[in-house]
Amino acid sequence: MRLAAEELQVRLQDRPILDGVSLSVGSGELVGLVGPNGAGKTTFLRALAGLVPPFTGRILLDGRPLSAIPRDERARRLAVLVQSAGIGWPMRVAEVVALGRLPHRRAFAPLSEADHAAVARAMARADVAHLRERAEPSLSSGERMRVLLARALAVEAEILLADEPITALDPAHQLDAMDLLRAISRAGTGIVAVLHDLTLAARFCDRLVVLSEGRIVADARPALALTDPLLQAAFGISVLRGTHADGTSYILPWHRSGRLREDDP
Amino acid sequence: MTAPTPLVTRTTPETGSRGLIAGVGLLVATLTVASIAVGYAAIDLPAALGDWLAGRATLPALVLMELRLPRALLGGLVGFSLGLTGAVMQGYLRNPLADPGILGISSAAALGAVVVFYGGLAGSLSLALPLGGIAGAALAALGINGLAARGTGTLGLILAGIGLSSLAGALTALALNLAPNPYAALEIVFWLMGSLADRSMDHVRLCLPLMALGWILMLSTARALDALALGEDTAASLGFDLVSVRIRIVTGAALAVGSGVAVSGAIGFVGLVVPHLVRPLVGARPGASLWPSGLLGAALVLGADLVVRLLPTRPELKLGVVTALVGAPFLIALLFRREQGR
Repeated sequence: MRLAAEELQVRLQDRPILDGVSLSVGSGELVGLVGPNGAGKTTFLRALAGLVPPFTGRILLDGRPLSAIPRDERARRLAVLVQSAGIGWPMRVAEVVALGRLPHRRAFAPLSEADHAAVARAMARADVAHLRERAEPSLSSGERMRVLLARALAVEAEILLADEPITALDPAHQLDAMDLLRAISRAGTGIVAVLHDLTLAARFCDRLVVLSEGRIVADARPALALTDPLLQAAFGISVLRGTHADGTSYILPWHRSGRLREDDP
Repeated sequence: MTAPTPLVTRTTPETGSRGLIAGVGLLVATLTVASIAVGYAAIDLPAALGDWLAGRATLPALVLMELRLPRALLGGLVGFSLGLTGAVMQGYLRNPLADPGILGISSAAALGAVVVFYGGLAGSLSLALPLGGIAGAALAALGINGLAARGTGTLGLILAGIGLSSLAGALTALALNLAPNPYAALEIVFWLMGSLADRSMDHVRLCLPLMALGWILMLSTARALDALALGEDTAASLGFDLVSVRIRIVTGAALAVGSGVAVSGAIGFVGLVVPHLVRPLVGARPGASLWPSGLLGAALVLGADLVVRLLPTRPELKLGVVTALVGAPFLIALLFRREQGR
């Protein structure tokens, strides 16, 4: 199972947004898509999901062009969590999550036992099972984010594309969500997640793809991708680097400028 | 994450809304019977039915089959169309203030009928008026669908609808302005207020197939409307072809509302208010609100048409006036409560 973009060019209103980007994600991989605001991350993710047609280049799912795969099959194999998603009506959380089962249901068929089980699993994993009877207006933005993540998980697709899945979450739930994404990828799902928190992205992802001004400037293991020159060129920041007692290394965005000051460690 | 694994429990209210559908359906049946029983001439219903079944064209049998029955049937059909289309429009546009006329289809249908009036064709053929209305709605739907097929977003669709409504309204005003005599203008104005009086089975036969097709098209989008609660991108990622959904909704609305306006004039507020009444009863899921909204719309129009006939005002009040008089304060109260609930 592999989703691949080859030499993708995407234009929106005749403005080039992505310029020849390629990316490949396979089963069991957690890929972080990072980059400054306006780099084209969201457009890239939408293109991977088949929501924006590429100007040139192509997207392949197991070698087949995405555009040649029937909609319902695509919907079962590719789950998408979009960034701007809200919940339009005061629907119960359990029903919102159950929307993720729509691609699996035949016309007019009610939720099957398997659907109910998938919904319950997704709610438990995203820590929203206790919210199941609550409705939209009473959810906090973090709770809403987790509900929508649960909705995407309920699809139980082979590939999960998530746009900023942890942005609205508190630190505890950010850690939970990253743990969850890693656990799901270890169970076989291929994941591309747009992330802004470089510390968490570097710590949890198998690979980081760095996007800058519509081009990919790095695609490697986090330690190899987030070098000092790249962070300065792409993000305009410098980071602190350290090593936890258990041997894992971490980075921490520290300065806006390109250079570390002398009084810093 | 650390939540305890919950028991596998039912997450769908589909069984709950089945009870609601049955309840409102019963109400519609009752009101239909009441609508047949109430009229200006007292007739012996069982005897009239007996006469008709026996093929005797007695006066009571004719009143029953040519006046009462078409009026009751049209009330149910028009009401179902308005309620269903209102629920579909609100779900599709994710906007609680959307109504069946939001795409300009009702105004265009009204304009079509007014053009027929104005052209003096209404006198020559009894169905000229509804046919003109249907032609107006069809033209509007073609225009809106042309936009929809080009991938215009929902905002573009609403703006196109507002433009179309304004244009149709302006042209209707022009027709009134240029009306050959005050009597013709008055007739147009009264017709625009909406009424079910003096309609025949021909009207039913004309609008029923068009409405039924429109209902089928709109009901087929129930699941897409559920998915659209999470936005267009999410709905597309769940496998729904949004261009097809748009075309089905615009065409379905044009068929149902266009032929409704064509036979009964403009009946306001039903399509706007009914989905608000239904929403809390179906857990706010747009797809689950379609059947109950249609049925409640039918009940509301049948009820309003009963009120029109039971009130002692003569000539009888126009149906559209009664639904607006009841609907507007109700809507204000609803919005007020909603604001307080925040």
